Amino acid sequence: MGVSMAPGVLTLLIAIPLAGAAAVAVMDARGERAVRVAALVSAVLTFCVAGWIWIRFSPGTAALQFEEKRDWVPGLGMGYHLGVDGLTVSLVALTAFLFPLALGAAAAQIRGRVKAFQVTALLLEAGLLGTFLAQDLVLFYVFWEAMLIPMYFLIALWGGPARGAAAIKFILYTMAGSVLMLLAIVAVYLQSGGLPEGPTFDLPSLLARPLGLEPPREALLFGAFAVAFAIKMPVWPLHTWLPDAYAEAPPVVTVLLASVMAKAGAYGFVRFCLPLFPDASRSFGPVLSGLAVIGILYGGAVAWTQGDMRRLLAYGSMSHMGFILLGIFALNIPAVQGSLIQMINHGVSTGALFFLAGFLLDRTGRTRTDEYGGIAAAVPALAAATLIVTVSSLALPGTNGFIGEFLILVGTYQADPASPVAAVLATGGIVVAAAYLLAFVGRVFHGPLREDLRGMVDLRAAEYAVLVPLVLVIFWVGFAPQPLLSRSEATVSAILSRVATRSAAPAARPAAGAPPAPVHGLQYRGTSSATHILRDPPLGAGVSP
Amino acid sequence: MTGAPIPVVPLLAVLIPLLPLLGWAVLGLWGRRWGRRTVALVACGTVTASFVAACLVLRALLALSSGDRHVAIDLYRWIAAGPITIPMGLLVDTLSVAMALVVSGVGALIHVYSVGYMADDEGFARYFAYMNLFMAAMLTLTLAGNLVVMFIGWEGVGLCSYLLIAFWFTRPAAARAGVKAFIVTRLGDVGFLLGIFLAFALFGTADFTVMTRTAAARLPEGGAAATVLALLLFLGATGKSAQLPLYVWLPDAMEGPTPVSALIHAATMVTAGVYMIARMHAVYARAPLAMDVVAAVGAVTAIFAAASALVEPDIKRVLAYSTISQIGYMFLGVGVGAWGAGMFHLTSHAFFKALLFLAAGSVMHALGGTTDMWQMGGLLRRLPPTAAAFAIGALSLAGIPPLVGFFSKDQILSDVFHRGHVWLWALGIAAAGLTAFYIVRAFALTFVAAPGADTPPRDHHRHDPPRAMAWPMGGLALLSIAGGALGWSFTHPGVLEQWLRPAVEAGIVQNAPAAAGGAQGGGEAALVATSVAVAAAGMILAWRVYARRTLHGRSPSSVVGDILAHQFYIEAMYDAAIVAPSRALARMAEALDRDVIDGAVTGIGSALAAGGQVLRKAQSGFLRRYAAFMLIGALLILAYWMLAGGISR
Repeated sequence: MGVSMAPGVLTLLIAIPLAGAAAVAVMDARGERAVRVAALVSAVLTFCVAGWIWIRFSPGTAALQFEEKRDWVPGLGMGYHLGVDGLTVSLVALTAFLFPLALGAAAAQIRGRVKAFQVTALLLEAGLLGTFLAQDLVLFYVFWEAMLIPMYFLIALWGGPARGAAAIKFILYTMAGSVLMLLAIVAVYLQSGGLPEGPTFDLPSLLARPLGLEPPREALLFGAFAVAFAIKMPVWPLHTWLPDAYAEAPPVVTVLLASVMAKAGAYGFVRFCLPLFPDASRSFGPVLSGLAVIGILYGGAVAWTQGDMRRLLAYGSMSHMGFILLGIFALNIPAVQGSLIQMINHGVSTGALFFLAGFLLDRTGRTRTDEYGGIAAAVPALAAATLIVTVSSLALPGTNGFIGEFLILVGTYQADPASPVAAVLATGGIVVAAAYLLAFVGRVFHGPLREDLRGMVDLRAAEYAVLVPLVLVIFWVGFAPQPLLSRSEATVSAILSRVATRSAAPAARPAAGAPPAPVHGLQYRGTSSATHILRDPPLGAGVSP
Repeated sequence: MTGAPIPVVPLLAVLIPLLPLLGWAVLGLWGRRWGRRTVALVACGTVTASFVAACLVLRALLALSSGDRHVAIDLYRWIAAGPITIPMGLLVDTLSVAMALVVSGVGALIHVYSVGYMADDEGFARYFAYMNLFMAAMLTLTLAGNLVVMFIGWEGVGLCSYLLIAFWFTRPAAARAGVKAFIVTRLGDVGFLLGIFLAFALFGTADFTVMTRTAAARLPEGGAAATVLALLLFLGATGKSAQLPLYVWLPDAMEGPTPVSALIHAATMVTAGVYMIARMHAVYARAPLAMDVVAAVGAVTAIFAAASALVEPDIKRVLAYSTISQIGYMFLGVGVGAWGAGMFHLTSHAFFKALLFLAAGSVMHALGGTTDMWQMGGLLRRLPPTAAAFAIGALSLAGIPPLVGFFSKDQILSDVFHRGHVWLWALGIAAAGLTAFYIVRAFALTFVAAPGADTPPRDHHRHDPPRAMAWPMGGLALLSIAGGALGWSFTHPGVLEQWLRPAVEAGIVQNAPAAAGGAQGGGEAALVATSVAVAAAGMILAWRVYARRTLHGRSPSSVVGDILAHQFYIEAMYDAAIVAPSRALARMAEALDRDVIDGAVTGIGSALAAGGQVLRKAQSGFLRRYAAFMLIGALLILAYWMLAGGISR
């Protein structure tokens, strides 16, 4: 199957928010409305481009599409290399989908320094999109850091009372991870000196041949990348920046933190850790699966005890991210596919929950759940929307959340060796999720209606405009997830076949015609398709420079 | 699959769950702006149309030979990832059509009843939106072609149950009961989900048709695989169908509107576990140990819940325990392999228990919402049609011939006996005596006995139910009387059992030959006589005690009475053994998070900051300096390695 091309379109994707930021920056700060409209327009334009890419993307191939490659610092093997594949095409669309909604919701929430906010948010969008598109390690690192700075300011300048401490905690945590990752990137570069292409930061080139890392060194580099990504997701026990940041950031910024930025961490595991360090991924997979299960149960339990609405949702978000990590390190197609679609689902559902929390805060200024009560009687539409989003977060079938969690768990259940235990424990997480989410709904929306909330205003038109698209996606993915799944399957197969085949033949490719090596983690009794993932070319085979 | 393609059947089968789903969508979107008439018309119309569609499917199947009554419909590829493919699949066979007819038929009657019952409620449109969504979910569960699609319905009915129990959400008790129902059934759902995962591991699919066909070949009889799979799914069933030990949510679920109790918590959703087992009979047949567990849990639940109903003062909670107990009979039936008898009792119970609930609702409607039977009494004169309806339901429940409950219960007990489970049979008979006792007690206290001392004075006008409520009760009363025709004969299979046979016996290779009915003719009469005699004894005893209120006061004084009134203290045990420890554990995690994990990180951070004296003095400068250091350090390392690399090359 061919790959889709359109020169410059990915650069355009990053350039539109940057240009929007520049345009807004030179506008008159007093014309708040014009500033907002300009920012929103550039976000919508970005979404249009991302949507076009998503539609034009050809499923069925693991190769990079819409690829752009230019020399940057050729002497050092750095390139300006962008591309989308099955891993990123939907994440890019999700990012571009959520920014217009967040900017729309920000109109009611961000009252001060409007212009600066819009500029910072657009810079963040450019950074995030670049992170997903970059195919060069240095370029990736630049974008990775570039999204950090705007997020720091969004928390530190527009956040709640304890914003300063929360922002510092956030930046220290993530930078600690970044440093480790940078060192690991340099080490990978040096290791690649033995490749025919010479030392390079170019990811497809790095993946075209085995790196030949010694096991201890591979473990070390895997660990350095993993810590950076684990902090971002976050993975237990590196999560304690999260409740503070999620609760102190303005609600729309929390949406971006939880929906998009957390995905950058999960994405990093699949994009870099698995293919670059396949042996270490296999060896340390069980450790990460264990941390994932702890995160699911622990995050849910702590969420259950929280009296603050946003801290409850923050721990809940962490609990749900545990499912994504669990699926990634189950290392088989159903589970990894489940993790990828769950990244989108988590972005939509958790994003929607934080939007709703923001709508409640806008109305009352109250953050504690026990300061509400019975408001379903006053705001039926808001209550109905919350219910739908909650149901999606609970992963009830018919909503998007089910598709992801089901695939993750069914895949984990069959992965070797002790995974049924992990699957059983993680499945217990669905009860915990019911406990804290229904506690949230119960305390806020049910019970006797508080007198001082009797006059609460129901959803406004602008709020409908934010929620309706999210609800539509919830049901669309719930009943017809194939457009998402089919876009990522070939890439997932290719990555997993790297992880699997490296163990069978560490240095050499299996000869053509040789019987395919047994694929780790895919012993399905009852179907004979365990070997079909080998049909796809290894990652990067079609894009040799 | 096996049947000839009949284009009309797939279309109708899709419409059956789709119509109420559309009803939910339009009522949810516009119901609040519509008049009550329109809302009622849409809600009842969609469900009635589903029933008509189910009848048409029945007619289409009747036109086929009995071996061909099996149409598997894969609408589209729903989920596919690697080796796992799950179609949005429906399965139309004799079993699913029978269940769909019961669900949509009883559902339509209860929708009509609700129009009268909820007429003055503010949340009229919301109520019918939820009810229609429930019907859509329940019919999806019924017609599902694989376990995953069944799980859509399975969770959907659970959601609607939560929403409708907590329908009057401003009442804290209702809101609490809704959450309790959802969480307790979700505990069971964990088992169901794990069962689905195991089914994929064992069969590579969760398709009912394939599993039924290949179970005998893939699962060794009595092997661990079949047993674990059967028990995991049964765990889901105990949650949804309120069996021991997960029954605790159902009595509290009576906080919901009474028609909801009739539809969801008596006739349909709570019997889903029985239906699921009948659907998966081929797997259960390979797991005798699991079957024994199912039968034993059913029998023990039957007698336990009947005992709990003996002293209950609340009329709806009596019916709730009765439902738990009667579903126990159904599990007893399917647990001994009497699939047809289990489904027959499911059908029969849907008729008479819905009737009892609707009659109870009619009483509450007349009394302004009272459910305490000690505040009722003497209503026979004021509500004669309601009393008659309740009496028909009660006699049927007690198992008095020729009402439908007699046939279905005795069918189960007879099958249990003939398959050699004498002890389970004895439990069933004992429970039948208790059943007769508690339901006559309820009838006597409500309608016959003189009003008690604590009955508030009220007017003595007749409060017969409005027509919208009366007609459905009449219909269900008729079904409770005449429904026995579905299983008239004991010596050879009844109509329903014969109809179900192709579906529920497929895939079973060496079915233990059921003791031939004909040879047992004499024994059969003795069995029937025993159960009727026990029921009659229970009824007479209850009548003598309660019709004249010989037992005064609400709190029984004896130790036994105290244990019964607290349902054997199972709820207290749950609180002590599960709920309280979970809360403590969660609080511990929270403390750990705040004080240890975050404390450690903050500690390290502070130590670093104190050492460098950077953080406190220049917070904003710190960031920049940090970034600069990082960059310089990285460049230095880079330069070093480049030089080193260059030299080595």
